[in-house]
Amino acid sequence: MAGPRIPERIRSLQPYKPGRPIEEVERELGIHGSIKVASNENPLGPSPRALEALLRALPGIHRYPDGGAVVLAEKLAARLGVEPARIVFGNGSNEILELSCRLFAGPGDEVLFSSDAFLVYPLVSIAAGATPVKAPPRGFEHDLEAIAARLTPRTRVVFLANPNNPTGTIFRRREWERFLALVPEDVCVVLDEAYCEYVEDPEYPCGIDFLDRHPGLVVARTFSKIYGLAGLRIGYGVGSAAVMDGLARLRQPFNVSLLAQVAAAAALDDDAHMEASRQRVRASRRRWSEACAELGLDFVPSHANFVLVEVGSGKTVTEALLQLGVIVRPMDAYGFTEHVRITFGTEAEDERAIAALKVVVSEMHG
Amino acid sequence: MARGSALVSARVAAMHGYTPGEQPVGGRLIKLNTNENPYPCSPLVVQAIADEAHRLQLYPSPNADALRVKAGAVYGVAPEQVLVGNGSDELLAMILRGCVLDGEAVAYSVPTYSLYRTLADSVGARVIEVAADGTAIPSALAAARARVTFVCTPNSPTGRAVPLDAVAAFARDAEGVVVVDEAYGDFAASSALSILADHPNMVVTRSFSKSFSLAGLRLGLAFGHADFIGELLKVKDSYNVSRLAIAAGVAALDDYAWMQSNVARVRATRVRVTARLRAAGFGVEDSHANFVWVDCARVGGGRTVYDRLRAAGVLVRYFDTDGLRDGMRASIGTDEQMDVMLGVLEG
Ligand SMILES: Cc1ncc(COP(=O)(O)O)c(C=O)c1O
Ligand SMILES: Cc1ncc(COP(=O)(O)O)c(C=O)c1O
Repeated sequence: MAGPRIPERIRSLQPYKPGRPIEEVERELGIHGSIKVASNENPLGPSPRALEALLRALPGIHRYPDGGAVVLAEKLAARLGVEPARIVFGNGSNEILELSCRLFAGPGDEVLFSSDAFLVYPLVSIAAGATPVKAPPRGFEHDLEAIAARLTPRTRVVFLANPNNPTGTIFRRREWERFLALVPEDVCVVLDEAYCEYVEDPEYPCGIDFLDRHPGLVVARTFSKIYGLAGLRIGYGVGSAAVMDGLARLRQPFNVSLLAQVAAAAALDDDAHMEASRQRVRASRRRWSEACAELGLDFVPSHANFVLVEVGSGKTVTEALLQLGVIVRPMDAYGFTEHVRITFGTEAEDERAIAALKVVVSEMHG
Repeated sequence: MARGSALVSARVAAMHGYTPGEQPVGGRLIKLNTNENPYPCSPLVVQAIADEAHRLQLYPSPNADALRVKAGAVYGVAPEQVLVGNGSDELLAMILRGCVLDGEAVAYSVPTYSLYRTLADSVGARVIEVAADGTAIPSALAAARARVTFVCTPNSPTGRAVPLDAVAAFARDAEGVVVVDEAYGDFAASSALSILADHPNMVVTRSFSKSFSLAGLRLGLAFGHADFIGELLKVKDSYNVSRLAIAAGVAALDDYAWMQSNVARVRATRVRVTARLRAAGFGVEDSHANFVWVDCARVGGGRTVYDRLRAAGVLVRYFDTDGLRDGMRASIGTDEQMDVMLGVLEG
């Protein structure tokens, strides 16, 4: 008896290797008390208001959620200054990336992105049956000119991450405007702003300001990073009402849980928590620059909540740090074999990670 | 400027999104329209969620490992045979994304769960719908030789079930994937999980939304053969199930008896409601699920009865679909809720 036939494009997919939860890593290694500075999570956790709202909603958990997330959409829309019809929520912003790709690209179509970009882009392209096309970066930055040069009549979707993961770099307004002018109107541009709330550069272009310039623009954002709700799975896309309608048809009718909806809505109200999270990242950024300088390590100046550090062999250093109870992310999957990506933690976590890195680096050189 | 709709693929532009049952805001209506459980989930589940809520800043386990292990133990399969989804809806979608290419056939009998159509359209499938009464698998479905066939048992909106030997015979001869949708399986007498081992092309989906009282959480399970489940993992979003859902799912399975006791209450009410409706002159099928399909042809059709109930503060489901306009579907609520409905219908 033959099992079901799986299309070749799925069989050959290499699934995304996400960072594993700390519980799993510790269980495997038989250690505990380690710190995980690997998945760009917020060390301060979510707003207490989000937790309160979530626990208050528990008695209603036997009911389906509002499929349209109307209350949350109205609240977020008011904050962003857009119509609620221009927002679609996803089970994480990952789902927005995936749905946008499936909406516009299929077999024979091309999906374009920088070769140093978030690994989910090639995966969702291949899963949609489309052909991923990579443009070379400029150093550690997206090269928007190189990306534009690779637009063809078959390009249906362009993914851009600003800031990019894993480099933490941004592109600025002038470059972005020039790029947008080169993209045909019928091409979907997914602008992934998972880390936008951490950016303090005055020349950073906020995608939402450009929605009317490009009808195929989808700005993807998340509650996983600065809002500290990665475990809950909620993100959103903002775009034209027509494109959002397309995404809404493709998503599951109840793709965002009741608890995610109420927690996200409450999180939006906590400006103090957002400011504290920004402060923390600002302090970590400073501390890590000092530490890298002290250790003689090159790093990529980051606009996000993590930093890419050049350590020699990313793999060796990751393993050595793990032995010291510090979990970081090796970057060979992105082609950065000499780097590790370290997420900014609490002050104590930063210090522990820096101390461990010091030990590892001196052992390597000693 | 190009209109956004011109950007969207023709496939999506032609699709009708799924129409879910109304989720009214405010708590005055008696809600019998989306087959939720009227009873709360286990206190162990509430506790597990409250505990896990302190780790919400951390990404969940990508494959929900703890729940795979727990479900494997409870349902008697290997953890590798379990796929965890953001509701069983997501699992149905994943199966189509994984197995069906543009133009390939997806088949099922109608009437049934209307999301199948939406999901099939969204992957550009050729849809084959075969009219059937839901107590057997029509031979036309076997003849369709579809890449994926949905068998919804107990079926929605009728509450009828297909006997296991018919499911087995169909799966034995089918070349494609046979998805046995058991969203209502805990309310039925048998489950295809007992014959899964014999059928490498079978997937059984289950939901925590109905029997486990967790519709708001979004959690479902698919059971299949390990290599097939392994392939489906590739089309899964990297973190598709929340931390809270994983923790709650484990706790819900730990307190299996809680679910069973709620199911027993719902079944008892179902028997009582069925008898009262029949006594009042309505045609009512024997239901194997947590709802009843009520033939309203003699009292003006489903819409009339829906409106009458709605005016009395009771929300049931009316389907404006060929073959279903004569009836309405009422979820089984508490005895008190059902008495309100019966009071209106008997009056
Ligand atoms: C650039 C980028 N986009 C999107 C995501 C996905 O975030 P989520 O699905 O948690 O919203 C991530 C997560 O690491 C990311 O780095
Ligand atoms: C037959 C059937 N399958 C699946 C589902 C979806 O269940 P879930 O809430 O697990 O996505 C439903 C929900 O109404 C259903 O009726």
